[in-house]
Amino acid sequence: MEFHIIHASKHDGANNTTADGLKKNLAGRLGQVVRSSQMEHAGREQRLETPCVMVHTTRGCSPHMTWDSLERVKDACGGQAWAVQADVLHMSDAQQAEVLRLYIQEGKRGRSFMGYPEDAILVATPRDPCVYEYIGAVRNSTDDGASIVTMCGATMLRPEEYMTLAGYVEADIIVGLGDEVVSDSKMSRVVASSKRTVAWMDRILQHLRVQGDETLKKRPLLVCPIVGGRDVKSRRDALEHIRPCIAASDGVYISGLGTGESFHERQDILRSIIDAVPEEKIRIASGISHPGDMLQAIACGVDMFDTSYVHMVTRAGYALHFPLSLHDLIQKNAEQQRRDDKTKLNIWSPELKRDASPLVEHCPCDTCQRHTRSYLHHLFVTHEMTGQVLLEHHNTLYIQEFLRHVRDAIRHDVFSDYLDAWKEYMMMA
Amino acid sequence: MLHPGADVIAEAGGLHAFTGRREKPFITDSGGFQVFSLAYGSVHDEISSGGGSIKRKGSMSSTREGNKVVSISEQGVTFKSYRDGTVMLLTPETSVAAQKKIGADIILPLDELPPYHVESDNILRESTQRSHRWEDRSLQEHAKNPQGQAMWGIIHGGSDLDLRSESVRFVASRPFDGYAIGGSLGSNPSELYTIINHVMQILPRDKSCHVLGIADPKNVKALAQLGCDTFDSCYSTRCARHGSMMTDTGMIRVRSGKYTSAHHPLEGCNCYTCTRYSLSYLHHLVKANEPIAQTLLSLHNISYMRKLMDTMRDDILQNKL
Repeated sequence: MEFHIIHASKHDGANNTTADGLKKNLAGRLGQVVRSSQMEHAGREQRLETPCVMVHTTRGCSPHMTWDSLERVKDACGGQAWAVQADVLHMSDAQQAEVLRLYIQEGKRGRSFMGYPEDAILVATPRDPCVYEYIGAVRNSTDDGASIVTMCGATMLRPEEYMTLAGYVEADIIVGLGDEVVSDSKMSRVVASSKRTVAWMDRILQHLRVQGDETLKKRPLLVCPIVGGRDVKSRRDALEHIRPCIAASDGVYISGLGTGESFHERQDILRSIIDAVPEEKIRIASGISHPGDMLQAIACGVDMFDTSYVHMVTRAGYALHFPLSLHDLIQKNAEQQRRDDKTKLNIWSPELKRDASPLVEHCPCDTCQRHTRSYLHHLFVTHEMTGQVLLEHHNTLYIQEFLRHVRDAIRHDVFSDYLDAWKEYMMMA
Repeated sequence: MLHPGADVIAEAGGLHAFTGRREKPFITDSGGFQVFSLAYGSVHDEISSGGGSIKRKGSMSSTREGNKVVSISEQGVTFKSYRDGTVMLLTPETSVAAQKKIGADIILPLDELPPYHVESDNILRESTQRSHRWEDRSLQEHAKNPQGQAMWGIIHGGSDLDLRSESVRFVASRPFDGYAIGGSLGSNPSELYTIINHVMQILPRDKSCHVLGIADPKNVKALAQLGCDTFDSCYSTRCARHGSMMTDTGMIRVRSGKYTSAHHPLEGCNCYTCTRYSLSYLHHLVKANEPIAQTLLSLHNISYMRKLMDTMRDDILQNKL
């Protein structure tokens, strides 16, 4: 696996450094993840453009959509290779891990057991973006391993076991196991978590060395977790400790976000971390959801998002609905001006009972092409599962389309215009 | 009728336009089964138990708590909407009018459904005769504006074969576009077969015959051989929701522990699910309560039923059935 930078957005201003040494006016960049055909089981070469958002899965599947439906989403987005998130912790209860091991022992492929598509860039992550598996465990994490809550109760997961499970499903990008903390954790806990993460990453790197010396093209990308709370100084201190691990990895996974920090705190955290990471390394962020927050993160230099946003808005009965292109952001049509919620449509609203229009005009998804707001409203009010299936189809495509337009804006050096237009759209009364 | 309402669907251009399935034929029920289920049967039990013990089915004396049916009279059924408690009156005329607005291809007349375990012959006879009177009124309402829709007459009579014969004579004498066999169809497969066999011996064969509420593989095979043409039931998707898959050797409960290590797909099936997933993985999804499990198992069960019907039609054409 490889990651390249294709294009960095041009930004104006000769003096691009703040008083405390941070780069300012950071702008998005276009990158590409490449899975070489030389990788075992890789099939033909796959190229994935970034910034992008991973398709969220639980136990091998999108919560409501089969893979053939998701293929249509991929086609509607121009057929680009897609990133699929796989939570390693879902496989970590003893029974499931053993079943996988036996399956592979029979000469079969773990990836096919879970049904992940061959052409997906599979990203093994250490948490479910919808559920915080590190809370509720009976014991605390130790230097030996993480204490997590699984379907079968609490268990300890060691870094080596984590890597073995990630290997079972032939992940293309593996995020290392980190000692996750939430944004308002005590400082002593934050400091302990960063030290423990360094210790676990050392063991992960050792585990990979024991596996054998593979050239970059033949092995998955390893991404180093950057844990911590919302205190920027502690985040920078943690970076110093983990710098050798970052140097030995292919990128960083910025975690602990979306757990209570403010918009500005998140910006400071992202900038302080990304500023310290070599440019050629991929940057993945978890816990960033709202499209405006994604734009903020992309402006800071994030390449990939691990988020439950699509699933959570679907579950709550909202359809993503906001302008995608720069042109539409500037246009500001009458309906958008009327709406209080500038990014979502509430399917539960009685106003939709007789609304024969699609969720979003001109949206190419199957849901918008075949069904009306009135029908979706009816399905939700009557608690029919089809409602969630149709809505998830729309929301999945919509977020992918959003990122496609953002990539185009970066490609054509109008990303700062896109950002400005977005801010103005959100401020529109 | 309760949601979104026939008017909303009519405004949307009818059922086909509203659901976005313009190329598929639709059949609508009169609402009778659903309304009478509020009084007794599984829907009533669900509403009245509120998660507690399930009351005996068919016991009118136990219907007080959670009973949404206010009264049943010659005019129709007065009931309270389970959505908001609005008192509503369902008559043959209002049922047919709603089905006209909704715009299905095939519609059904309003009929009365007595409790499944009725001990008095008198109750069953009176109910059957009331159903006939309601079906007459439904037919008259339909005839005012046929709208290109077909109406099927429903044959009642419970397990009483004489009443069934009487009902067949009634339905056959009216200008319905097809027949449907409804009401209580016995308490076991043997009774079901006896009733259907009796009806099919005397039912004219000039129109299609539908069986209401039966669509499991075993009974579909048996009843198709008696001459029944179409079936409806939630059986295949309900079984899927409860973790079961249809096979040629019967139902398999994927939730069972014996599938934990069944690292192979179900043999002999080329549906979407079976060409991609092993039984052990499906077991895992069902045990983890993942919603996608219901989708995958439903895909299999519906696919299974479609193949079954394809095979039966081929066998009929080749005189094997």
